[in-house]
Amino acid sequence: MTVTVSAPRSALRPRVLRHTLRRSIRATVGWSLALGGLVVLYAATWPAFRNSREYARLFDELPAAYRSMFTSTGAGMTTAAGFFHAELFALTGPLLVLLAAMGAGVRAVAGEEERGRLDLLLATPVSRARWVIEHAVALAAGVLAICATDAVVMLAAGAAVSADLTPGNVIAAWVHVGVAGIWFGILAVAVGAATGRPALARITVGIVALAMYLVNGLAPMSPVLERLQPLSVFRYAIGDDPLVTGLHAGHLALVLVTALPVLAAGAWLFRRRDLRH
Amino acid sequence: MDIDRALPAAPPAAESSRDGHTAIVCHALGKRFGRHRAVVDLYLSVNAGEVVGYLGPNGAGKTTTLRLLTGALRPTAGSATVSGLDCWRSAPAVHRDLGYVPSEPALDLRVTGAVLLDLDASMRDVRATAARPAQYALADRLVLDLTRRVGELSRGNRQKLAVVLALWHRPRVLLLDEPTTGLDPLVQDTFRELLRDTAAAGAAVLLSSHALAEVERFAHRVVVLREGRVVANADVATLRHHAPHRVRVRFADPAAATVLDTVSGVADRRADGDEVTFSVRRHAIGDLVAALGRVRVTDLEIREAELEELFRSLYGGAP
Repeated sequence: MTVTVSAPRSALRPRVLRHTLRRSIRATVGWSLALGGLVVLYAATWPAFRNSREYARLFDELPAAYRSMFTSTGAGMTTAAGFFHAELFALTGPLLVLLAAMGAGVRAVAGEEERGRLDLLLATPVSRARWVIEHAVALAAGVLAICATDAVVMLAAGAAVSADLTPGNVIAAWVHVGVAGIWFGILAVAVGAATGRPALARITVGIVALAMYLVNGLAPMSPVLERLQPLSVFRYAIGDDPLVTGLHAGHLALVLVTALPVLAAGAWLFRRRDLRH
Repeated sequence: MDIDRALPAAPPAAESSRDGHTAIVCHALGKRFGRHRAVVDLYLSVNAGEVVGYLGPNGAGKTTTLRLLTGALRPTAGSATVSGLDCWRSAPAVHRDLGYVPSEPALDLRVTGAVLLDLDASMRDVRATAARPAQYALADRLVLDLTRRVGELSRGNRQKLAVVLALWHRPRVLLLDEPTTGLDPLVQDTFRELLRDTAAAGAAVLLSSHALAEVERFAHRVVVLREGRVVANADVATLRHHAPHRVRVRFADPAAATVLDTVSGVADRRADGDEVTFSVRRHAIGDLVAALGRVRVTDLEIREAELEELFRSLYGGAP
């Protein structure tokens, strides 16, 4: 039996991306549905807020610093954009997207390694650096798929309850959340690649995310935190209320660019260490 | 390029196909984990077309050596090379021609064997459609269903899948870590044929095992490892010649045990009442049987020596 094998194809052609994407479909669909359900739930409560002066007053009477946890542009709870931002994009949305991204990031190297599968998978011509990079790309694609799905869900649900949302801003808000999720997912990939320890990767992402979230949210209360605020990914992901003010391409680029050295460091350390057995 | 992906049906005599080209070389190779020295100053070479049995008790450093060769581990001393390429620094290039069967292959349980083979083809930059004929031919030969999920496969069938994964791309270097554990005897025969064919096609095969009997049938040479060091490196023919058997004889009359004095090659002799145990080199078994024929024997047991006994007999005491 003779088989003709074509000449070597482009070095840029992905080797594990397609398989990784296919394997993550279930998780991607699951997170999309969970987050989509939340969007629908909040949309269903919007009509009650829209016409309530009490909520508006209640929100306005909150201490300014506390209010800043929910909005940084001062948009109140009685505009649709202000409401959805405070309810969804101030905490729960980014948190769920972050969890989805972290799961994929941890699985990429440390998860496979803990199951003892990496020995065999990396005894192929795929280099460790390539493995890390292709998994980061798959992770980014998965997170963006979740965010795209839920942007559509939000537009539909918003229309159903006649919420006055600008479609462009809805998409912008989800892109912002997605990019932040990708940043933390890449952190999980990098720590997992550097150490081979899934728990350590999760703890690191958890601590960094919590610290960055608090620094961003509490910045108005303290000059020290205010100086640290530019170091927080959340400053760029939700800091300008993208649902109210639209896309901030420069901020997105900044977040993505800072993810690259994180990924590179993880890949570099991965190439220098033993695989765990 | 045209690649004949079918393995030759009938293996030519393996001896004649050894072409002398050294494929695997470990030079002063060492690996330390903290204070534990898993592999110490290891020199090992395997020629193309040669099957080398890599023997040693559990914990001797066999798996560590193989993982150094696959680039999973970084040497702390010396080097390991395959076809002149460093196994650590040039790992991806080494892997192009490498097949590896780990001792307990951990595979993704949620997908089918076919999906894993597709992935392997993609990682080797070969189109799935081009890879399938060779993959399915091997699976057929081992009687393995590739449409079933790995999680539903028995341990033996997972082992077969690992063998297909390692062999379909016709590697020039094949590393196997105790590959026959979990395979039933019938499959073991097929597996041995596959190994012989692979070596006959010019591959260097390094096969770890803790049982001499398992490797002596198809290995050309045996390297023995103990506590991270090579303690023996011998032709299988030489080993066969020297391999001792353990013998236990019960004499009707204990005084008749003196008949053993006439047999050369009896060692480690111990008497316990009318029962005598000793080891005897394989080539002296004929003499032994003739000698025992001259007296009354009430019980007799002859078995192959354990590895440890073999090397005690070969090298006189613990190395």
